[in-house]
Amino acid sequence: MNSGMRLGLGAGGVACFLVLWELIALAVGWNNDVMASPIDIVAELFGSGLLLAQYALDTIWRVLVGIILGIIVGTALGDVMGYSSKARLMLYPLMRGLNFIPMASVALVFAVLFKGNETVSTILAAMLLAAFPVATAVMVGVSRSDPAVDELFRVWGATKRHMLWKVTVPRTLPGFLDALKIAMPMAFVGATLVEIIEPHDAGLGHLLNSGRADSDVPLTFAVLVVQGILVGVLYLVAAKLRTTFANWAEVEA
Amino acid sequence: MTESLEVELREVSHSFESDEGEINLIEGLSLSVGVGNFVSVIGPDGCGKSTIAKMVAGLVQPSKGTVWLGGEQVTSPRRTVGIVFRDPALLEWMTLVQNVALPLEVMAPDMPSEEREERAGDLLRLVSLEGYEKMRPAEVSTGIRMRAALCRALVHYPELLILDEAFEGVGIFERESLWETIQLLREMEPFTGLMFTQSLREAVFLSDEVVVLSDKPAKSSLVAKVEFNEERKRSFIHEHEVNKLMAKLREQIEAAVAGIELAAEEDSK
Repeated sequence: MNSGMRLGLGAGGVACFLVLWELIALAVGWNNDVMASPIDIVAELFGSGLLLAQYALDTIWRVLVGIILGIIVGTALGDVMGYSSKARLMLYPLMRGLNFIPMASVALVFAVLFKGNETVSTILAAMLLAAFPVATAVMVGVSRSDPAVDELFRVWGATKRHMLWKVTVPRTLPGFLDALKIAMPMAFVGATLVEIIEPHDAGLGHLLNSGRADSDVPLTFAVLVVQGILVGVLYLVAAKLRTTFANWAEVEA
Repeated sequence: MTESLEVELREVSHSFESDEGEINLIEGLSLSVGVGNFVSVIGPDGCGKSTIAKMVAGLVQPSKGTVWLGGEQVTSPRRTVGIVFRDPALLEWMTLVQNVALPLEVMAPDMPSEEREERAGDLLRLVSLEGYEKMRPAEVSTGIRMRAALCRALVHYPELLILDEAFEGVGIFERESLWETIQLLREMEPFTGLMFTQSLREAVFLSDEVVVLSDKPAKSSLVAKVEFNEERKRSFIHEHEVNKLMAKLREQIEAAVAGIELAAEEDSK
């Protein structure tokens, strides 16, 4: 099946779902304070476009800063754990343990710790969720070794710099970029959670809370749509990076 | 007049610690390869062939004895060596031509990349891999990967090519074709060859001399010269004289496996 047909079928599924939803909304006759129909949501998206864009920008810049910090911290942690087995034994269980704690609870703790400085807690939540998959992928890539390749490089008199740029970095790249496909949407989840738990007049999470307080169902759904689009875009960016820079890992023998 | 030697192992022994105590892998092994010669070392599984290959390349230091390469004692890895392992160890993210040019990138960083790739491309064409230059290892067969690994081992004009059971994972037809490729490469760019293998046919087809190792601890149990004047084509391995030599070598290997003391040195003719 070609990609055009696959895309068509996916779009067809979404269209069927929306039509069915609209028909049920018409048949039941919901008010906007109970449930929104797709047409109401589209009207809200256009009617409150500026408002949505303004709040979305608050979320986006903090998510992006969180992702960048997550990549830096995750790469550093992954390197340390990948190169040192002792560091791996010390740090990896701790990291796994922290990852098991529900993010909603961590967001609450951040709200207490950084009371009055919501931007910091939002960025930290995004960073925390982005760093874990990156650290794991880097650790796996760096710690993997191929004795035959290592021995060839020794015979050639290669330096550590050669090994790093010719072997370690390219070998780690596909896993790292795959991790970004998880890290980018996860960072968005972390930031939105803090915005919801700790409302501070900024971000899509806050707008969602406002919609809930005012029983403005079309607005809450419009926020969901914007969030979905933004997470989708982040995923697509990560997927594009993966196919551009590590396409070789897709080739099957 | 003594023949000048490219490789010489003098009374080399090697042992290592394991859970079962100290293991003597090699004991008092002496072996030599003259400049321009091709010598095959065959012996039972696990008798230390790969360890000897790594000693010659300078990757492993013997517990006792010395290894000499081109008149110098080997104490560290040597760039004058080209080596091919059973695993072609090509880097999956590079094309075949980039893989072949890689040793030059490491050893001659000042050489322009076009020049490096031109040299790599020439070698690939020599081993009938024209058109495969831009392909990645995952896109080609095991035999093609092995040809590229051979080219990579020879790209920097090494004095010695070491083949450490290099063709073990390759199908028989492709393997025979690789033997001819080695012959061709030796004609075009002469080098000294030291091959470690479990295949008698391969050893006899390619070599001027075959060294049979005893079972662990390995020592040289037989050195057989392969002195056939005719040009070695694939049909060569079916010749009567060749089969006689192979039968003799097979007996020696079986004796070595059974742990029988063997004659130190014997010519086939």
